[in-house]
Parts: sequence; structure tokens; C-alpha cells
Amino acid sequence: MVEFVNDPDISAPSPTVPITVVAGGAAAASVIGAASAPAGVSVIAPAALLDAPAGAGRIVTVADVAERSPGCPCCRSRLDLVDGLVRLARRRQRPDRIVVGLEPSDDVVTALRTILAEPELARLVRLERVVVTVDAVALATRLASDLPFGDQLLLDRLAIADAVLVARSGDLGGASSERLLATLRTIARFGTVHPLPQADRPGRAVCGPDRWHGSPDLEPNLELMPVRVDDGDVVPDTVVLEQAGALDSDGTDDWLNGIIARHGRRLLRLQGVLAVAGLPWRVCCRAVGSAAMSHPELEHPPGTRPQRPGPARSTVVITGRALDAADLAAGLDAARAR
Amino acid sequence: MTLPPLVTTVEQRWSGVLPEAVCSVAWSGTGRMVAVAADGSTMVDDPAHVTTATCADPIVATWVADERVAIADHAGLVVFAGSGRVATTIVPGVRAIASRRGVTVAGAGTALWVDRGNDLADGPIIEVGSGLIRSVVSLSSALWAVAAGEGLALVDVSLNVVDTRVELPGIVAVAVDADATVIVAGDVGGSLHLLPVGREGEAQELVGYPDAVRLIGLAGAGDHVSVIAVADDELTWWPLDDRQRAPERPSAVVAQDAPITALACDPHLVASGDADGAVRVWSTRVPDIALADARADGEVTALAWSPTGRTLVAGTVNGQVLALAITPGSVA
Repeated sequence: MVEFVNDPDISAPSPTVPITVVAGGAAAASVIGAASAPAGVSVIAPAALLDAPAGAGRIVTVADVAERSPGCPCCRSRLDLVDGLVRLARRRQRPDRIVVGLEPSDDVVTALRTILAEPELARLVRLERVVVTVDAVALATRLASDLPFGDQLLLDRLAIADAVLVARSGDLGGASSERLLATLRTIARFGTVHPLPQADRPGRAVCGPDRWHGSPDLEPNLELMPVRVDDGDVVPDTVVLEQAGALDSDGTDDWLNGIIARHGRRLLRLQGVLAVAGLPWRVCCRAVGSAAMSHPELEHPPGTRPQRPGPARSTVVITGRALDAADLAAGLDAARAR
Repeated sequence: MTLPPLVTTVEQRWSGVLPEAVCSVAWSGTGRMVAVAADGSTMVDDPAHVTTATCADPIVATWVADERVAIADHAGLVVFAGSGRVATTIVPGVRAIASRRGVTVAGAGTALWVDRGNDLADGPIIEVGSGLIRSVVSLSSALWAVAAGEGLALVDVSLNVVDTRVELPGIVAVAVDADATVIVAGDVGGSLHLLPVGREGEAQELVGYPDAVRLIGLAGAGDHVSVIAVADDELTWWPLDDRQRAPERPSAVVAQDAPITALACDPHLVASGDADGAVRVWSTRVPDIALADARADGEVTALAWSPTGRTLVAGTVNGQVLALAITPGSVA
């Protein structure tokens, strides 16, 4: 049984280092380069995504994936990231931020699960944002040719992204651009989509506010586009669950544990706030794959902490492959305090 | 045999500072010490001898001879320094290096490089065939245990052959006892695997850890050996019987106030260091209470016993290198 564990005490004035993950191929190297230009920003990335040699504050990494349970893809861990992030954060002067670069062939779920769930990292770093870069021309061509939009790794990292940066978007005509942006918004429900002119600096998309706590703001009434994919690939769904009134504590634990147990292999990202009976502050919950954790909203990192307890209303957003929305909603409804 | 001492005192011998966090401390067989900082600078023997950086991103250091140190660097190189001479050998993917009686072995990618006194110039010698190498420890100058992504291998570097392969996916740490009779390996799923040397088929799995156990050691000697494993802020002790078998449950689980960040085992004593800077000395005979303790200036990042067991050196995230004199006592 997967345990829904408490986050470490992130309310303490702990100098955990914020992490931005930049995943993708097109323009990822230049985005990482610009994001890491300020003094105090360290980088860990494959050699292909580093525009300067490794050295102080710049680590070249080679994916070293291990499975906690043999054959279980949702329990994979990136040992190279554990090692590299410990080395970057365990310094006399910790960096202001660490940018983690991932190649298109990297599984973003495994990388994020590692950052969120590895105990060695929990007291050193915290995940703040996931930025995905894509090439407008390549994707628009696939759309125009009625080819599969992308492989499962691309679909997954778009679905999990907080921001999607679209390189070469200026090279597209109006209709192509609109169709591409609408398709990206259909998949990247957690994220915002931004054009990335070559001269542009990634700015707030990379170093903006923490997006991994609280209830995510999704664009309402979004018109979803059909997305063509290869046989066997799945366009991730996003399910938004809202529940008025307080939830039963044990029932909520059971519901969350059940989601991880039943949907863990297909779960890309879960995030929300839960109003639990008897607790003065709502509970922030988040999960990637089989890694799940929770903490009171009051313990959010400084800057994202609410000033007063939220309403007795729960909101949870779940993105994954082939999710059963009705089952998820029924489970949350059954967890209501009675 | 000599039983581990009980009443033990710890006194500060000296303290020095390196410019950056200490990432590795190593002793030579004759009692020389080197501490390496994250910026590549080193302290040799005492605070009066601090060098400038010899590499940019060091992993671990080892003494290859009494006057010469090898430092593996994440950039894919090994720096040899000492006797007024510095040499660098490109070793792509190097991740581990260790020495034993004049034989130095580096794990890089999926292969072992063996130093024949020529600064690893012969290149990769032995393809281990067990995935990416993560750690190497010596059982003797000829026989080495190699922890890799797909399992554990015993490699005879005098014959350049892989003696034994044990399929254990996800090994992240490995240790061997002083008499080289038993190996313990920790995997990413939180299990420990106990392998009696020469009887690897009798491997025993120790479970109960929720996450990977990266700090493990074997302390004691003869028929008084214990496995010591760290899980966050807990030390767990598994005493072995004369067949190198562990009980079903650890004999002691000792919680500390802060996460344990460093561990070093000696034939007689065990040292732990934590994220708050506490250094504690333990005995396998009374595992539930520390015999003595000392305070460093921050998170302990490296610990190593001298060959005599009379000096313990701790390195910290602030660059402090703290030498502690250990005086073993007797039963009170």
C-alpha cells in the first residue's frame, strides 16, 4: 500500500534551494543558458543542454535510472539527479536557484518524482516550476500533415508543465499559430503557453513564482482540440474535482491512497487543496507517479503562504493517462464528512 | 579477540577550514590524511597544509601511495597529486575510486580502470558487465566488490576477470567488513543484501527501510560483526552470527535529533555525523547509546577513521576539517 506521507516541515526557515526543471529539445539549451546567467544560479543538465563547460555550479549529468520496485515505471528514480543536486546544494553558500535540464528522451515524471520524493533531497531543495520548450515549426508541420503530434514523452511533459515556451513561433502564419497554441493548451492544462522569440529572455516563465503548491489556476471554459497520436500513445486527461464542505480525514486519506494505488502508473500530476474537518487550515496535496505528499497550506514556502484559512471547499486537479473522471469524483464525494 | 571498547573519550586534536564544503576525507595506510573540498582544494595532514584547487568538481579522494593522492572528478578525470607533481588522466564517467596496498581501482561507466603505478594510463581494463558502476570497495588488493546498476560483481584485478556476478538491480551502496568475510549492499528500494564472501548463493535480504539506504557499514571483526545502516535520522544495527547471518529484525534502532549525513566504520567503533553537526561515536557492544560525541560547525559531509582507529576526521558543509582524538576505554 502506498502511504500518502507528510511533506517535511517546509514552513521552517529552511534554506531549501528552489528548482526549475527545463525539459525539452528546441531552444532548451538557450533557455537554460539565459536562466543560469545570473550569479547564484546553478545548473545540472546533460552536456547537450549546457552552453558552457562544466565547472563550479555547472554539472553535466548522464541519466542513471533505478527502479525501487523492479518493473514498476512509476517507482523509478534518477540517481544521477540525487547525486548532482546534493552536490550543488551541499555547499557553504547554497545557490539561489538550481536549473535542472532534461532532454526530450528523458522521462519527466521520473525526474520530478526523484526531486519531490527522494528523502536526501527533501531538506535541501524544493521543486518550484516545470518549463517545457517546443519547436513551433516542427509541431505545426505535424499538425498540418495530420501526423501524430508527438510521442508519449512529449505528451507527458506538456501535461505536467507549468509553462510551455514555443520557439520559432514567429515563423508561423496566423492560422497555424492559433491551431498550435490551441493544441498545446489542450494538453498543457496546468501550464501557460508563451511564444519564445530567439531574443526573448525566459524571465518569469523560468524563475517565476512557485507553482507546485496550492490549487492550480486552470483556464476555464477551454475549448479542447482533438490531438492525433500514435497507436498505443495516450493524450493525458485533466480532471478538475471540486467539493464543497469539509472532508472526513480518514476518508480523504483512503481516497488519496486509492488514487496512488490504482492510478499511480498513469498519474502524471495531482495537485490541490483539501478542506478537512477538524483542521483549521486546508491541506495542500501533490503527487507525481507514485510519489505523493501533503502539508497544511500554512506551511507553504514563504511568499506562497495564505494569510488566512481558506474556505471549506476542496479543489484537486489530476492529470494522467486514461483517468476515470467519474470514479475519481465519486471517491472525493464519498470522503465528505457526514 | 579484542572486544570493542565501551568507555571512550573524544577530544578535539585540531580544527582547520577549507574554502568550500568538504566532500571527501581519506587516510593512507601509514596514517596520512587528505580532506578534499567541493572547489577542489585540499588539506593534507593538518591545517597548515592547504593546497589550491586541483580539480573543479571532486567526488572522492584516495591515497595511491604514501606521498600521492588520487582525486576522481565528475568532469571525467582523475587528478594525481603529491611529491610536487600533478598529473591528470581522462577517465570518462568516473564515479568511484579506491586504493588498497598500492592497487588503485576506478569505476567509470561500466568498466574498471586499474592503476599499475602509471596513473591509470592503461585505460579501461575490465568490462564488469553489470551496468553503470556506482561504488567500489576492496576485499583484498586483488579482489574488489563493484556495485553497479544491475548488480554486484566481484572482480579479480590481478587476473583481470570478473569472478562472480550477483544480479541485484538498483544497488546504490556497498560495504565490506575488515576481515573481508561479508559484503552488504543497499538497493534503491530500501533493502539490504548480505552476501557472505565465497558463499554468495547464501545471500540474505534485510528489509524494513522505506527508502534507499545509502549509508551502510560493517563494524567489528571476527565473530563480533554488525551491519550498521542509516535511514534518515535512525541508525539500525544488525549483529551477525558466526555464519554471517543477521536476525530477522535489527537489534537496535536508534533515533537521532537530525538526519544522519555521514557514517564511518572501524573494526572497533562506528562514527556518525548529522545535519546539525553532531559527531557521535558508537560501539557494536552497546548500540543503543553513543559512547561519546563532539560538535562540528555544520552538517557533517564526510567522516573517516585513521588506520589505528585513534583519530577520527570529520568534514562539514562549511569547510571545517575537525580531527578528533579517540581514546578507547574499558568496561566501566
